[in-house]
Amino acid sequence: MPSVGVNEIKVDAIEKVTGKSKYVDDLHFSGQLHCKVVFSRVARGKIESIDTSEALRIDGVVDVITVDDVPGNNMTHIIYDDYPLFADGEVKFAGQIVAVVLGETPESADMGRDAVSITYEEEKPVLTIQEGIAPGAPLIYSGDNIFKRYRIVKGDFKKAFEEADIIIENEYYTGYQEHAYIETQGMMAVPGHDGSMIVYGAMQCPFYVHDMVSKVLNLPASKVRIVQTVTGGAFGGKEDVPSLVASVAAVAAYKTGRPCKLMLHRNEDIISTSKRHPAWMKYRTAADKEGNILGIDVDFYMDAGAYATLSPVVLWRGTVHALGPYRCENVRVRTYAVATNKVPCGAFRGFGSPQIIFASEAQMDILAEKVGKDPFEIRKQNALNLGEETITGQKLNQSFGLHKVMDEAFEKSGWAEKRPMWGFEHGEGDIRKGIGVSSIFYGVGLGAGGKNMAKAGAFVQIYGDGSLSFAVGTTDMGQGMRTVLSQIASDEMGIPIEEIYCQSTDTSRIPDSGPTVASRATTMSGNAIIDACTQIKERMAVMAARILEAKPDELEFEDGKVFVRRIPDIFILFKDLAKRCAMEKVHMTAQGWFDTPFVSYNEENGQGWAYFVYAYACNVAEITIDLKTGEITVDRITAAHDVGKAINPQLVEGQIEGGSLQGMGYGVMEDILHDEKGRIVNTGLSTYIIPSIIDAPEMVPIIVEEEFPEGPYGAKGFGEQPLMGVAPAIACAVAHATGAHPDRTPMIPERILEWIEKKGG
Amino acid sequence: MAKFTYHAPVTMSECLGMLRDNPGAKLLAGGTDLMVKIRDKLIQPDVVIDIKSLDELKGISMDDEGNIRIGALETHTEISESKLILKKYPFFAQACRWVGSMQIRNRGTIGGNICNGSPAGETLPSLYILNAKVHLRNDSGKRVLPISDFYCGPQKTCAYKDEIVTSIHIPAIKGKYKGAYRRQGRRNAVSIAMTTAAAMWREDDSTPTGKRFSIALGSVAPTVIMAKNAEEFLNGAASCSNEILEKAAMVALEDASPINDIRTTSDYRNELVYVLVKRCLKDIICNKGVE
Repeated sequence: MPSVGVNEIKVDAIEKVTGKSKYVDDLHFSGQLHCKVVFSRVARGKIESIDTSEALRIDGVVDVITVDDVPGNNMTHIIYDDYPLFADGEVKFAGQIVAVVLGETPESADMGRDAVSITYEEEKPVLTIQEGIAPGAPLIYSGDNIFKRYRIVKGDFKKAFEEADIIIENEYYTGYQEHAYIETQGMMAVPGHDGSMIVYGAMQCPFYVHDMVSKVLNLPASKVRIVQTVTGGAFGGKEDVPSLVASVAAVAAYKTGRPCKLMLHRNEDIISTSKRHPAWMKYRTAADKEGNILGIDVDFYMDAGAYATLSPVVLWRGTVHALGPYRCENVRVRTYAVATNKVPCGAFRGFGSPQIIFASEAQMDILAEKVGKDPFEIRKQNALNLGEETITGQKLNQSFGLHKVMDEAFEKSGWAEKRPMWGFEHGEGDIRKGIGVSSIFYGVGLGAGGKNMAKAGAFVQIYGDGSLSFAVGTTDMGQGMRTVLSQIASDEMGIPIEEIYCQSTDTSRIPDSGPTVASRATTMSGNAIIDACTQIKERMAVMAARILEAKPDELEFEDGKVFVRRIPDIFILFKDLAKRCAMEKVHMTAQGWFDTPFVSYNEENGQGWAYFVYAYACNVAEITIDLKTGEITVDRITAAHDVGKAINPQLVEGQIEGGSLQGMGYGVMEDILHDEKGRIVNTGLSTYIIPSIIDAPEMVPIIVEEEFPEGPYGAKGFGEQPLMGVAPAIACAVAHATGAHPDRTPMIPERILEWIEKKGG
Repeated sequence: MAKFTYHAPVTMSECLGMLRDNPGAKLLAGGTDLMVKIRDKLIQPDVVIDIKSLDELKGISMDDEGNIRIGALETHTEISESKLILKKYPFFAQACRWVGSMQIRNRGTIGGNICNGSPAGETLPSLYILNAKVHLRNDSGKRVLPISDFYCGPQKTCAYKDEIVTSIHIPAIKGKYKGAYRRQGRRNAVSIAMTTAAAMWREDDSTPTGKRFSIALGSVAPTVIMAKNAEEFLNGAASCSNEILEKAAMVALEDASPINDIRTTSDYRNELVYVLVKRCLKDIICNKGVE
């Protein structure tokens, strides 16, 4: 019985539901200390003094740690080396780590934190993109406050605009988004008696953490071990930040020789950890009178915050996705990551693409209106066909489900019936219904922007009883990787999933497999497991062939048996074979490896094979709007996704539903607000508003499977994609219901009323 | 969390003695506001008195004249599911369903919601239009305050430090009446309202329409307020036509003095005052009253 394609119960579901899972805060080591971070309350300034004397007098406070206590390199390396772990003489955002208080109890650490006194020479902070790029702006980074810029140049965009029948020119803003994972960030550092250091915690990227901890402690990498604990959500927020959290705990453990736990409280997590970049986009579209896109000219600015962290690569993904899955020969895209005195923004499901997709899809809606066509029709008309090129000049030549997802979403949403019946013109009283669409693509994996990291390993071991354990370098943060990879291992060896165990991700077990980001765990680790299983099967097949008197290459591993392909009733049970192999010491462990398929990118003109494959999605959103209060209710989301192959369809649907809700929050509710000094004011979940279960719309997830030949069982990554197109589909529906086109997120009632008023409705 | 001394009296006199002896003490009922405030260091009481065991603070009952008594420890869930409240004042039951989340409603109490005194408190506008009375008690006696006199400022009650709210009384209404409650937040659960409004009419021969109106507004002033100008306008109006109701909603804007804060702007709150009052009035006019 194959496991791939089956709705296996999540392998860790029962321990999670029954509360048995051990998250980092559930770990307790004898003699442990508790860390409380002293964060900067100032967005920009010089540190004049740090007075810890009061804090040290508090009963239970053991030590206060600052930059002076860092034994190794204080600099956080993510892409650049610009972000000090502990503030070193200056602070660049409110929420930056200045010191950490160690207490025997969480309470004493907390009191100690309040007693640390820091004085600053405050300077006026730079709080917006416009302030950051203004001539004469205070310098946060290098000569111009721009961390990174990219461009795409293709064809002759100027000529396209000269020859166009229609030119659409607009500015768009998208707001912040906080990850709001259920488990806040936390780490437990445990010093070894032999000078080694183990750090346990919630994370996506153990190898980033490993690298930083060893450099901060000035320890050989061999003496550091990073173990991922059960992680309660991440969404990109646990890509770069855990390296800092772990390093703070590790410095404390190193200095005191005691285990040190650092758990961030929700409000500490919100002020100090990464977010989705706010963005400002100037988007020009040239089209002919039929609505065919002739050219685009795009300027895309991201508010990166005070340090570069992941912004250069986030910007790159945004750049490549600047148009979406549409045909356009003449392109100029210029993108910028701008420094401001706010918390560094980083990875968040979609990684720089939801911002620009919001703008590019809004342009499609306006284009449809200008040529008098239906928004679905204008998208179908401009959608790429198999063999056509993206704006980076990449030919889409395989696993191409774009038209299928569009057709499915069109059918299942009832678009053809609803669109003409609903809208601003149809309805009475204050209530209107609207229906809107978006179609997107998503470059799977790190792509050419991160190809040096785009490899992954797996370790597979068969035991004498026929069971299998495996370890990979990617992580499960709730998305279901452990289950999906167990299903792949199950089918590779032909044994039931109950016989399979996925080890926790541990940097001592597995070579650097890159980060668990970019929807890459299934494809990368899945292929690495297949590689390892193939090696083991080859060795076991020699033994089986001897027993079955057959040739090794004519054997199949399936249904708990190994049999000769031609004559399936001649077989040996896998369990018996494993036992025999164990007795005769056949080598039943293997290290698997997967190297990413070809990608390329030319930074000069932005042309190249940006990603090895794309996933596709089409979202239809149905909404109700109260024209008098601006209140918006999302009633139903139909989401069709081409995932290559759904290894576990139920988990795929779970990703679609969760991502859609998160995308809805991004579209209509969520935003981070700052005071005039640059401090975040909505630091809790009572003021940072995310959708509750009661706000969840009806969801219609649709799985489309256009096989990706190089993916495991045809699968390609898609975990981020469910979020990306939801806000644009809602915007399209808002335009339908109100007649006014939204130009920013979140689409809160106040803004909806403004748009209606501006339109004169 | 800071340390405090915890008392759990089992009789009212024991509780009142503790309040007398510990002037800075805080009362703990559901704890849904108190514990959050202590954790966030907004308050740091030395003594917390847990009143959950005081049975005389429980119960919802109606006397022969139709006056309703709600014990201060009644939870929002209990009130919103009370057959008596659902029959007599369904808009008030509905308001209780807007409080926090299911967990908060199961735990939080009406007494706590009143004493927390948030201008956005979901239960308050309904209690204002119902002319509810707050019953208080201390070691030396009892007193009664109309709900509208119970507040001295935002989240500040006029209760003495040694007083405890024992119950809330809703006086019987003679003749027909009809009430409504509307609110708007940023989502449909666990959401503090940006603006709330409650309105009702009761039979009254002395007005041209035969109806006397009460309107209360929340989140648009330091405390919940009565929209006196709007009430006066309606009580003097010749009819209850749509135009009159819309005009009344405009007049309600004169009663409101909203501010910009973390939840929304004063401009938007004014929009909401207009729309919510208008809709509350339409709710109660377009439906016939109950006896």
